[in-house]
Amino acid sequence: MESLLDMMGGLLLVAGAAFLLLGGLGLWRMPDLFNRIQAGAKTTTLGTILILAGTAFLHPEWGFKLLLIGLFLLFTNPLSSQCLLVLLIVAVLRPHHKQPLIYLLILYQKKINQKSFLLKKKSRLKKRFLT
Amino acid sequence: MVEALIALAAILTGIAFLFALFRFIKGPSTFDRVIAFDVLTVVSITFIVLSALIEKRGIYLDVALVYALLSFLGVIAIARYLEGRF
Repeated sequence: MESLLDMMGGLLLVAGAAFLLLGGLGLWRMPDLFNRIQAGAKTTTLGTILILAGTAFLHPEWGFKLLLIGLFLLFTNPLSSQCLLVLLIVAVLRPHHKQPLIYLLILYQKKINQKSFLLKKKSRLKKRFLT
Repeated sequence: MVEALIALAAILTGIAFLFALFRFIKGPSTFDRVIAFDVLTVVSITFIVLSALIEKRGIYLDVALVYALLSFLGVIAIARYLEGRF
C-alpha cells in the first residue's frame, strides 16, 4: 500500500517537472512577449501544483503546509502574470504600435473603473444622508 | 525507485531553470527579463520543495512559503515601477 502511494507520488513529481520543463522551453523558444507570458504562467502553475501534490503523496504529514503553499501559488501566480500583461499593454503597445482594439479595451476598462468608483461614492453619500 | 524518480524530477526542473535563466540573460527587452524572473521564482520554489523532499526536513517548506510571498511582492513591485515610468 505504501509503495503504491510512493509510486503515485513519484509519478506526480515527474509529471510536474515535465510541465515545468515545457514552460521553460516555451519561455526560451516562443517568438513574442505575449506568447512567453502565456507559456510562463500556465505551465508553471500546473507544474508546481503537481509537484506539491506529489510531495504530499510521499509525506502525508506535511499536507497542511503544502496545501497552504499551493493555495497561495494558485492565487498569486495568475495575478502576477496578469499584472505583467497589463504592464506590457500599457507600456509597450500604446506608444509604438497603437493597436486600436487593445487601445479601446484599455480606455473602456478605465471608464468602467471610474464609473464604479463614482457609483460607490454616490452610494456612500446616500448612506450618509439617510443615517 | 522513488529516489530515482525524485532525481529525475530534480533534473527536469534544473533544465527548466536553465532555459528560464538563458531567457533572463539574453532577453532583448526589460519585459522579457521580468517575465523570466517571474518564472525563475516559481521554479526555485519548486526547487526548495524538492530539497525538503530529498533532505526529509519539513522545516524547509516554511522557507518555500515565505519565498513565495516575497517573490510575488517583488514581481508586483517591479511591474508597478515599470508601469509608472511611462
